[in-house]
Amino acid sequence: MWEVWPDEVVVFNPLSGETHQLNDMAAQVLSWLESSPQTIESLVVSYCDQFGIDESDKDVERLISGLLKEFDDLGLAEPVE
Amino acid sequence: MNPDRSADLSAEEWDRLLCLTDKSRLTACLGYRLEKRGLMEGLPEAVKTRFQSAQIYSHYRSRLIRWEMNRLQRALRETDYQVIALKGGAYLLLNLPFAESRLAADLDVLVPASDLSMFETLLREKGWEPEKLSEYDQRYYREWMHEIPPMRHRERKIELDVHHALLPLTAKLRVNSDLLFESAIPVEGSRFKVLCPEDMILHAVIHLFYDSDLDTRIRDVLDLDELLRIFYGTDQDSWVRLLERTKQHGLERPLFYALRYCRQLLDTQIPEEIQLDKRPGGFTTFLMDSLVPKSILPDLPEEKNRFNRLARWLLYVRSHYLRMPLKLLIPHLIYKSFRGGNPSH
Amino acid sequence: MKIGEIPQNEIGIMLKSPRGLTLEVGPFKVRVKTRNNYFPPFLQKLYPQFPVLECPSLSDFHVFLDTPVAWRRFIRPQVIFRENGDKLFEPFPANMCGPLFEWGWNWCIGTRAHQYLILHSAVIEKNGIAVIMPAYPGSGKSTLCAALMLSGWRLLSDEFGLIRCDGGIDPIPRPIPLKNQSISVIRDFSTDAVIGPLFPKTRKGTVAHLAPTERSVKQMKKPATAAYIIFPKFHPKTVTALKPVKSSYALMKLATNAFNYEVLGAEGFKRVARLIRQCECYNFSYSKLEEALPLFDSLVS
Repeated sequence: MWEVWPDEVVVFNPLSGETHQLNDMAAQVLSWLESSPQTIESLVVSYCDQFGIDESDKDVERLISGLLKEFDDLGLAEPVE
Repeated sequence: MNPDRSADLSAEEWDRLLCLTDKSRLTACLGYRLEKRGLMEGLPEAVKTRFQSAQIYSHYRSRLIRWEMNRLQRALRETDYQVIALKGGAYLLLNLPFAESRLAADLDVLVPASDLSMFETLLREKGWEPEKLSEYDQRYYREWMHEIPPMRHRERKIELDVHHALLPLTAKLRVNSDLLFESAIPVEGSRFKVLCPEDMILHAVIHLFYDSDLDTRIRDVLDLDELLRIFYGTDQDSWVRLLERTKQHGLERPLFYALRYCRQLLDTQIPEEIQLDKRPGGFTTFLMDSLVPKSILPDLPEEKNRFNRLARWLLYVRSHYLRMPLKLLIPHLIYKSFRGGNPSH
Repeated sequence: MKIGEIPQNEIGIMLKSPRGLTLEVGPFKVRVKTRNNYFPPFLQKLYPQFPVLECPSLSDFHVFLDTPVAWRRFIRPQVIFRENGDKLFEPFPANMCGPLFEWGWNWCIGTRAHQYLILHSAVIEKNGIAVIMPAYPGSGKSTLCAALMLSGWRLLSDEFGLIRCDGGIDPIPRPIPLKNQSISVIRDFSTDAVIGPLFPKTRKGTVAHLAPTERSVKQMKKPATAAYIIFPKFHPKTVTALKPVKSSYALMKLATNAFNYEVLGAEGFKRVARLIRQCECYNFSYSKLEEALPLFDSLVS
């Protein structure tokens, strides 16, 4: 469940009952995952496209990987086969 | 407690009834049953609010259990342990209609005995910790009952009970766990399995009539009533399957009591033709008939009844007698009477 | 019949009877029984406007202010709080029956009334506009709330923001507990202040209770709609100021402030989010009541 303001996002995870404040990147990645499962690569591409970043920038992949791990820890997303 | 009379109850009667159901944590359950019969609409607003509030709290408990299963499933990724969810966890996994109103307390799972110790190690690695117990209680679980103490994840509230058998090794009856695993049923979308309907019902039966002291356990009788309705109804063949499985496990006596008291207390529809070969003797039945109803139904605080207390104490002793050999039982009872209270079993 | 209209000794008799005495306070009915002799005067001083209900009725809470063991009636007498037969909390000295009742009942409401999202907040209303003041240590919320109530605001509650599923707030205008210096501050603030007995040496220092105003009790069945959420912070040397806060910050703060946010789950999130969207949210720092009150008045004029 989402509450969105111009530059703030809060989500509620009905499975865990936890509430999370998300930064821009986290909010964007999570919303993509909500619409359909994604690979890290596709997320990196989408993100770089959206914000005009060079796709070879390794930081983006690192950050997105970190986000996915956190989402998994929090039960907001999980890896699928 | 005929539900159809609910429309006629006075304010005072509702007051007493809801006090009783609150005390035995049955308010949500009663609300569910009334709703199922379409009787909720006609009730006074104040009564509906009480049911609503109880339901909300019960849904909360269910969410905690589901989340615990979610986290356990995550912890078991990349392992191939066979895990059967028991009782409340199973009812929720199967989305049985009464499951959400049960005020589930803990999560119980069954694993093969050979996996128990490694399973415990894995849980500890993933953040579960054994409950802080006295040394006595630790020994109770590990040495006498051959189980691991209840675990709790350090970030959460739900107690996780890992069993390898439905009854303690020291108990006088045994249920063969291999049979349980052979007939276990997978659940779509989950890593956990559940017991087949016959085993699930028999588990509820022995949990109530063998493994517990029956103290205000009317909730468990209600569960049993629901399970019988859902899985068997009046289908003769299903009941026959239950009887066969009961014989296979050697659980005729607890089932006898279960069916008897479900019929007596809740008017559960059980086909007349269902008869058990092995029944307890007339005197034992008479004794249980006098103790069980007194013990299983709660008392109002201002109406504490000495006879009910005695009945509960006798059945408490009975439950431990069934679980432990005499040489362990007597010192255990003496110890507990000084310490007060009993461990979660 | 109201509590204040019944002679005190009769109140004592009713409290001692098997049926007890049933009070209606806001949306709740509480049935109380006790043999404790300090309680009737406490009740009469602080709850005079509240209706006593005909027994029998359906009560939400069944409170028994009991003696822990028989001999505790005579030797260093004590009192315990039972709800529906269950003993909650450790014994208090018998003369602290009043505060025990208040705190015990608070705990019961906060853990049971899940038809509401229960904020740990004061709520006051004027000109049809309600202000929610979430409670935090050092906020001075109770003193501020008391002063506002005595300045023409209606008290919905000092302790509980009972948020309904339609977003409205149900009043429960119970006595306001004041601590230490606040007691004299409020006593000096208004001659209309009705303050109950002093209880020194509690965990929180000296405590006394301010009775709700007649205006507040008269409207105890009238819900209100909030337009402001104000997080007060008292500091003796600060400048009185309202500072807007970000919505997401306010949401998270309010969520952690609620007693039963976790229990309500998704519904709790919905109700908090709706409140944040319908209200302006501010941090409020102040050092003097005389500066704080006009600011609040300006919000609702």
